[in-house]
Amino acid sequence: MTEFTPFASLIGGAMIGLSAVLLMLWEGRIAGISGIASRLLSPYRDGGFLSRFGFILGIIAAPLLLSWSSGDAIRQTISSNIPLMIGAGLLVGFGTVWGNGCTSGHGVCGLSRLSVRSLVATLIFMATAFVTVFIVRHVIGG
Amino acid sequence: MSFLVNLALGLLFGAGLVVSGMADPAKVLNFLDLFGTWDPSLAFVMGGAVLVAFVGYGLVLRRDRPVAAPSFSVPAGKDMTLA
Repeated sequence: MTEFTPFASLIGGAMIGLSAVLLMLWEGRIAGISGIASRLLSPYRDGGFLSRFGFILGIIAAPLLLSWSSGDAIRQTISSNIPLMIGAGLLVGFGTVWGNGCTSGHGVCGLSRLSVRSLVATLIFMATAFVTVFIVRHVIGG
Repeated sequence: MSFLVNLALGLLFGAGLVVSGMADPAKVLNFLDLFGTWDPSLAFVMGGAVLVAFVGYGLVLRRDRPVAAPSFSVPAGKDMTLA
């Protein structure tokens, strides 16, 4: 069980949206996390490495800074099965590059720009995820 | 300079993930578990983000160019294929 947090989630979502808007204002780019992360590695040599590295570093540092300043650990529930996590990470990377975007790129930035392609992508990956969780939790597991 | 601005924007994005609860994969999975321990929080995250980004993009894209780049690089791709 996780607690339903409509207010905190709305505020957090607005912060994500604001970050995306300011990135557009500064860099003229979409805040697609999978895209920014995947372009950290070669063959992308367009001089944008430091910017992308800074953004990803900020995302990774945020929970560390927040838990350090508040003294509270940030709740995370993940599998301790390392090979499984590596496999899952590879699938996320492969899928987001193949699908040209992820929850942030298609879901947040694309929908905000009224992109039909992003709407289709978001509906498909959300539907697929609902079905996957249903099968894993209610058909296979129980 | 761009590094520092991007670092700050990444921190804002990451803080948004923490505040919204999305730093915990369990909350994401529970959003997807309609017939189990359903937690609708993720819909509120998307709603808040899309609302702010829709209004904000509208304002920003009126400019001729971004602050630190010669032009906006908004994805123009409209191709959809089955594979």
